[in-house]
Amino acid sequence: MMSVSGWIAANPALALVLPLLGAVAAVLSGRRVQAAIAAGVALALGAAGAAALAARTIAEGRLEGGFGADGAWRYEIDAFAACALVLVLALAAVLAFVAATGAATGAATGAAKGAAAVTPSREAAAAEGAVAAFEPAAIALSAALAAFALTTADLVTAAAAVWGAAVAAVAAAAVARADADRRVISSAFEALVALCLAGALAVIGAALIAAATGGAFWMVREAADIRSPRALAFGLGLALAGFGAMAALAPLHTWAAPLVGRSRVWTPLVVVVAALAVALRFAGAALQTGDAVVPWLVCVVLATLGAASLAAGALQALSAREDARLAAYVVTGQFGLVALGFGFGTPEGATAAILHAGLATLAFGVIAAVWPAVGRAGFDGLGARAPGLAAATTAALLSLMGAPLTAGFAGKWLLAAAALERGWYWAAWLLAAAALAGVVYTARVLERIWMRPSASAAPRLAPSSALAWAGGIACVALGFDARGAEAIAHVAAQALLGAIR
Amino acid sequence: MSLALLLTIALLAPVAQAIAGLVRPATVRDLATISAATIGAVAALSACGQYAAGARVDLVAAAPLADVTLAFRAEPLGLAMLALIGALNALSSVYASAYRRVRQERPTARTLVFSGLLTACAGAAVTSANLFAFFVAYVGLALAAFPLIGSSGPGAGRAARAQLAWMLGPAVVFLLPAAVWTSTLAGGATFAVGGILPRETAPWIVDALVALFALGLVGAGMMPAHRWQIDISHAPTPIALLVQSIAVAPVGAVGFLKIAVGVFGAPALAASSAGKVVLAVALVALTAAPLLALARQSLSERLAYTTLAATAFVFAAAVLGAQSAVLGAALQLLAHGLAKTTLLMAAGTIETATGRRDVARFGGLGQRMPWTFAALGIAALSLAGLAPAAGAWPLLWIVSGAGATAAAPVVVAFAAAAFFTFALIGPAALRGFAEPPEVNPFTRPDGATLGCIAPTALAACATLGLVAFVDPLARFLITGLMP
Repeated sequence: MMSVSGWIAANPALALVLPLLGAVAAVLSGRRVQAAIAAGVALALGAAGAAALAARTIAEGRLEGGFGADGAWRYEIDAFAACALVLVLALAAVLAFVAATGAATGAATGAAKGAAAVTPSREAAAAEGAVAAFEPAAIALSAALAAFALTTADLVTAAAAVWGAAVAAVAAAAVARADADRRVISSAFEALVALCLAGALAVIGAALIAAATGGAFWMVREAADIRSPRALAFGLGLALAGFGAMAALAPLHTWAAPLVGRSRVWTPLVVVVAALAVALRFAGAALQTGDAVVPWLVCVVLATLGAASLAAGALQALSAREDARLAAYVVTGQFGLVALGFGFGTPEGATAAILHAGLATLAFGVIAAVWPAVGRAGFDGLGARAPGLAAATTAALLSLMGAPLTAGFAGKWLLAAAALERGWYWAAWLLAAAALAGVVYTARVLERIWMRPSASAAPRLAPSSALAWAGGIACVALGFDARGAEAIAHVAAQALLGAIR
Repeated sequence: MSLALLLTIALLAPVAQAIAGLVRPATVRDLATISAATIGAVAALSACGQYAAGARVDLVAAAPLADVTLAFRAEPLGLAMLALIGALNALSSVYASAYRRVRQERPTARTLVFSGLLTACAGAAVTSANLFAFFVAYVGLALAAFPLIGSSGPGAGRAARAQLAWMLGPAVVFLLPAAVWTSTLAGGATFAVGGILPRETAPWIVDALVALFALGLVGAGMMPAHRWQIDISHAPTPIALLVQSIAVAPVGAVGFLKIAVGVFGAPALAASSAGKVVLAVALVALTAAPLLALARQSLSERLAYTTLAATAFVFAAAVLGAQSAVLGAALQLLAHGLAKTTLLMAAGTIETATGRRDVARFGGLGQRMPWTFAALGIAALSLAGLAPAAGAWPLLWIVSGAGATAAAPVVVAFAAAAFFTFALIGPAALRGFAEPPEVNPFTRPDGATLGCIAPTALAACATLGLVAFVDPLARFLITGLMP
């Protein structure tokens, strides 16, 4: 593992190649469990390598290079991009293992139904295998494209790669439960339309930015370097709106809840995290431009998207009746907070936003890993049928709520402090009100986990269970000491903002 | 033993008490809970002695961020309150054991576990070194009180939900933002005598912070968020003791006093406009609570109103700004804790032995229950601030502090509150001795048990005996209250 990590740190392209190899291996394996494990292992190796890459960027600064004739693909990886890469690949690995767990649980259920099952023909089995392997393969492909978007030096390519990752994630979600609930297909189609529009916005916006800056957007520091400030501002507005929609930020978040609610898989979360990270890269570069209007515009757009997401996420989560939809709204609220924090336009806000994004992703990863145990019965009685997983879920939920002595508290404290330092008192109180809503809906879920009887048998333990426990422990441990994570977020913010004006 | 170890033991003993609540059989469980509570009390009292001898310590349990730590500090007010909470918890444990045996109640493990956790959170709150630690302990207090109140009897669910909403909601919406804001302005949130806010802080920000902190703590026992306190007055006495005199209500008052002294500095708080508003609201609550209580016949309901008055007493004294008023507020917390515990235990003992709650039916009972009614009388004197009981001294200091700040209406309000408070309980105690005794007022053959009477009498003795220690106590406290 260590040698692979070192190898990737020395050769950043491997962080993209490994997930792609995972996707290929998943397709070739033909069976769902093997496919999911192959994808999961490849993604985990990629995440480990990305962690080594992050360590290198933190120590050495930005890495630049290229491959192919005349540097056809140029990469540009700073500490922020490397940290985001770790999150995306680790999350994708968890989702792949979750797919394996779901498959194993499904197989066990099928076996329990008895010998009455008709043995399928070889052709049917082969077709079923191809479909079954599709979900983990799509997860790996989505992660690979997201990784490509995070590392490429080209703006338009980054936007197009996130778009591609979104399409792959939606396809994975559509395949996951289409046989059990045909409405997943219509939800996936609606999501696909929304994401295609968002992707088009992002790509057009990126193209405009490239045109306005001569393709050197990441490096523009002076107003004189901007060919057309208006085109740059317009392009940024379009790109941020497009990435915002893909990151499930309000008011363009309506695709996420129906898709996740019906498919009951978390694959779109990979895209949400990647799109948000790419949006922050764009915003970080824009904040460094010497123009008078562009940084202001970026702050306004991000703060508006963030505040709307925070409010809409909290209100919709309060009224959500399905667990998966509730989770989707919480995603909108939590990542809205990240956008809002970055919208402060200060290094403190960026540090807090990055820290919060990382810690929220950790908590969502735990919930995603627990998801197979949640099953059709929902959270009701989870404490009775799987106490360990229920404890991990509790830690993750409390962390998302921002409870003291859990990981999420650190990010929310820093975000509130950054809002007050910036003089945005309304943002601090919006955060407090959203936290209160979080207390209410989290208390409801915890009551269902711990106070209600279990409606189904105990779930089988699986790799994703171990991941959930590890994540739950991390949620608590980081609540007691998040200074290391804060330091990493600070370095990532510095890399993103540079010498912010 | 070092001060650090003593403080650790005092803070963790209630957690051990909570774990002991799971032990079976009942006799072993009671012995274990009483032992843990007693160890905590002894450790806290010893810690006071160590501090007086010159020892100092800060305990850091966690450091989520560079300047945000879960830290506890040995300082005079915190240690004195910790010792009080520990001692009252030990007495309450003995009392609760006897109370349940007399009433043949089988406590649920939930009640015992959350009683211990509630006490632990109260201890953590009073010794908190900074706003973050106080917030964590206060939220823990709110969460631990919820199941305890919810399981206290039929119809208690509504009171429990109200308690949680009134404590947790304002804590998240007002107290936490205030803590973050203070930390941002002051570069940290650690309490320091004289205040931590920079002198150049804009007056409107100071006003906003005062309002936020006051609103954040309003749920613990301040009018107008008081309905749940009245609703739980009919809960079993051990639970009422924890909520009204040991853990919840006192912590709200201690928190405001710590914030007044350690964040703003008492004079700066008194000079703020919001401080004057808080003073006005507190004075209204101080006089209105006993007046409202006069309309109630149940002694436990009357005592619930006096809890509100006591909290308002501390809020008002804290914003007066004078050194003597702040000292009076700290002493009031101690004297009131002892007196209220005595009164609640006495009320519980009377009810257990005779089935009577209404003060109108106490006539002649004093001659059949002399220890209990003597305790009731002593505690009533102290609660009303009348000599020679301990409650007289805080009132005297606060009135002199109010006089020093030329606040005549404040003096009148405190005097009126003292008069009304005595009118609530004093006559009931007097009638107990003055009216002719009934032949057999008891619902059980042998009346109250020693297990109920002894803690009540001990608490009354402490209420009376505190007078002898007022001067050294004041000298101990003053170093932690004024620069």
